[in-house]
Amino acid sequence: MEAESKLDILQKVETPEGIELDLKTAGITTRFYAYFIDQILRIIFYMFFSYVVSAGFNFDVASGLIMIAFFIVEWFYPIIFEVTCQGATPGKTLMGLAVVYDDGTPVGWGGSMVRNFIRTVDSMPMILLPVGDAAYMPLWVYGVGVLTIIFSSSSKRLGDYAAGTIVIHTDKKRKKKSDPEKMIVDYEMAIPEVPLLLEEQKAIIDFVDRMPGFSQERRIELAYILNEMTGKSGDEGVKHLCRIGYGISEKR
Amino acid sequence: MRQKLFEQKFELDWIEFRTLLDKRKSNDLDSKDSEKFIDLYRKISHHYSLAIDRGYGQKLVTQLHNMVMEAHKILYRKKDATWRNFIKFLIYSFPVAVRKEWRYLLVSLSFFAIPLFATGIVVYIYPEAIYSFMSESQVKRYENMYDPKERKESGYGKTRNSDTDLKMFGHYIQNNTGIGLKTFGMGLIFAIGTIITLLFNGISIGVVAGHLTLVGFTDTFYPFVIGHGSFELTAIVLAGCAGLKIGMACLMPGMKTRLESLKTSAKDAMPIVYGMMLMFIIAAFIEAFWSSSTAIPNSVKYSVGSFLWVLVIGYLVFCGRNYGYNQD
Repeated sequence: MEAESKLDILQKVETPEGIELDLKTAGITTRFYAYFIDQILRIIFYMFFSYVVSAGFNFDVASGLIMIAFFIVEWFYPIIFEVTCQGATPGKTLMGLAVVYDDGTPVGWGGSMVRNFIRTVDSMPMILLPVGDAAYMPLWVYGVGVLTIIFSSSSKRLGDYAAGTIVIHTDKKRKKKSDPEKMIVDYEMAIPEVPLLLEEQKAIIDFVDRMPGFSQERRIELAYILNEMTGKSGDEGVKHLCRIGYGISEKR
Repeated sequence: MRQKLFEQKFELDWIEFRTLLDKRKSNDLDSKDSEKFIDLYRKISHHYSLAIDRGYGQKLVTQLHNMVMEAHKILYRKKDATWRNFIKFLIYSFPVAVRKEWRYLLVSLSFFAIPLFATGIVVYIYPEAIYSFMSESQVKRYENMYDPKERKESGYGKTRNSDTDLKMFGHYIQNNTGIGLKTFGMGLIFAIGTIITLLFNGISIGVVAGHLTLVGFTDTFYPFVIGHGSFELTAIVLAGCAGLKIGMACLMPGMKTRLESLKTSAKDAMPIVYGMMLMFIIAAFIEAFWSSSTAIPNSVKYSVGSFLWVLVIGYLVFCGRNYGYNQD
C-alpha cells in the first residue's frame, strides 16, 4: 500500500475469492458534520427527556432517571446505532457514512464498543467552557482524533485503529444522479482518441459526476490536463470530456 | 468477448442474484436459496474480475462491484460470540479472560491498592496529612456524610427514601461506570492514563477511609462500603487491567506490528470490559438500595458484605475452569 501513495480515498480490500473491492474512506470534514449532527440530536434528546421526566416525577426520581439516560446515551448512542443500523448513527446516515470492519463487513458489538470506548482518548483534550457563574460545560476538542485522522492514510482515528474499523462513504448518498443533460447541451457521445484504462475511464466519469460542484474555471482547468490527448481546450475541452464520459457510461 | 455478448450471456445470473440479495434483506432465504446464493456469488465474483480485465464499461463494472460488495458483507459478517451468548460469557468467557491476564491484574491491583493502604495509614498516623490531599470543606463534607450523630438527629434514614435511592443509583451508574470506561480507554496512551486513574482513585479512597477511621466513624463508614465494595473496587482493578493490556500492547508489541498487537489485545480485553461494566452496574445497585439503608443492622451488612467479597473473588478465581472439558 505504501508503494503507491496516491492522493486517493479508495481502499482496496481483497476477498477470499481473489477479487478486489473498493472502499471509499470518509475524510475529516464529512465525519465532523456527522458528529455535529449527532451531538445536536443528543442535546435535543437530553432536553426533551429531562423535560418529560421532570414533569412526570418528583425531583429525586427524575434526576436518577436522567442520569441513567445520560450514561446510556453518552456511551452507547453510537454503539447501538452502529450495530443495528448498518454501521451508521443518524448523523452518519445523513452524511452518507458508515462504519465497517477493515474488510468491508458490517461492524459488530465488539468492534463498535472498542472504537467508541477509545473515543475517550480521541476526544482529548477537553476544555471547560464557563456558562453562567461557576457552571461549566465540557467541550471535547477531539485534538487526538483529528490529528490521527489527518495523518492516517485511511482516515482512521485511534479507536478505528484499535477496533480494526474504517469509516466509509456509502454509495446511497455519494451517487447523486449525475445529470448529463444539464452539463452538455447536446449529450452526444464521443470516442476517446486513445483506448482508456478502466481507472482512466473512472476518473473521467467521476469528473462528469462531480462537475456540478465545480466552477466553470475549475472545469476548464481540469479538462486541460487532457489537452494533449483531446487537442481541445477551454469550454470546448470540457464539453468534449463530457461527451467521452457520457460515451463510456453508456457504452454497451 | 464483446461486452454485449457477455451481458447477454450472464444477465440471467445477475438478475437471479439480485433477487436473492433482495430476498436476503427481507430474511426469507431457504436452504436451497442459500446454496444457490453461494454458487452465484462465486460466479459473479468471477464476472467482476473478468469485466475489469477486459475493460468493459464503467457502468457494468460498478454494477457488478456493488453486487459482490453486498454479498461479501453478508457472507463474511463477523460473529459476536460474547454478546450473543450471555450465559456462556458469565460462566466462562469473563472469568477465563480475567485469569488469562493475571499479570496485568496484579499490576493494576498494586497501582490501586498500594496507594490506597499507604495513604490510609499515613492519614491515620499524621492526621494533618489529609489537607495535602483535599480541602477543608471537602473533609467536612465527608465527615458530615458519615457522622453517626448527624444520622440520628436528622433522621438520615428517613430523608433517604426510595426516591433518593433511585437518584443515587443513576449517579453511581453514570459516574462510576464512566470512570471505569475511561480508565480502559485512557490505557491507549501507553498505559499512562490508566495508571494515573488507578493511583488517583486509590489515593482518594485511602485518604477518606484513613481519616474516617481516625475520627471514629467506623460504624457508619465500613458497613456502608463493604457491600458494594466487592463489586466496585474489583471493577476498578479490572478496568485498570484491561487498560494496561492495550497500553502495553502499544508499548511492547513483541513480534507483531504495533497496530496488529493493539487490535488483538483490544479484542482480548473486551470480555473484561463487558464484565467490568456489569460489575459497576451491580455495585451501583447495591450501593444505592442496600448499602445506604439505615434499617439494616450493621452485623447483617458485614456478613452479607463479606459473603459478596468471597463470591466475587471465588467467581473470578474458580468459575469456568472445567467448562472446556464438558463442552468440547
